[in-house]
Amino acid sequence: MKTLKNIFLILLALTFTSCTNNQKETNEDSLIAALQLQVTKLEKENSALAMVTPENLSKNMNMYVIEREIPALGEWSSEDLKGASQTSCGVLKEMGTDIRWLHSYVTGDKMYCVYLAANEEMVRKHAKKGGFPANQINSVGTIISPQTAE
Amino acid sequence: MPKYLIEREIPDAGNLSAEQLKNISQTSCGVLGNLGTQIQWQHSYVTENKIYCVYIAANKELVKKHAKEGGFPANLISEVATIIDPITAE
Repeated sequence: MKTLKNIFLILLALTFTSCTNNQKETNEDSLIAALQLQVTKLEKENSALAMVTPENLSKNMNMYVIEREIPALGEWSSEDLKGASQTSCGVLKEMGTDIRWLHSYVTGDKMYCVYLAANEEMVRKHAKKGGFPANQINSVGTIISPQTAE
Repeated sequence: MPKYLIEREIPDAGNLSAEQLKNISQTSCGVLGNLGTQIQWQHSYVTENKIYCVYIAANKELVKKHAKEGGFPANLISEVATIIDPITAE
């Protein structure tokens, strides 16, 4: 009887351990899956960024960095930024395929926007229509990075 | 770590040859190697008279130190609060 009880206890312990292990594995699996997803997302973002360079643009497109001086820009809420992005995208849609917004760096009182456009005039037109300042528009000749040193 | 956008005023930067850009990048990476892991160069947009650099660094001081040691100008260093793109409008 004692032996039976012991076997029962061992079985119970084994079942418990196996359950905990399963639980652990499931947790680890979902963590790995989540990390994998994040890595894929970052890879996609990086390759998207790597794909657009001044060198591989079609002949009638140029890359520009636009400086927009906006006092207290750093205090804008995400809602403010969303509103500005919507205005910008609305104007871009009207203007067709000769101008494209890649991304913008938002700092304390200046926004640095990276655009692709057929010419500087398109960039000025977009700024005027959207009511954005465009204090400086500089054509990007190339993009360098630590890879350029290799 | 915060991200910084650095304006470097370099007259005729747009006319620098690939070899010159490589040398500049090597100098930059050399200085970065000495400064450790608290500062990282992401990429830079080279325009006619200005280079816009994107760095990740523990603080502004490190960005200034890197510029000084590498002999690069750093006319304006601004912390990037966020990056927006057309997806922000959605």
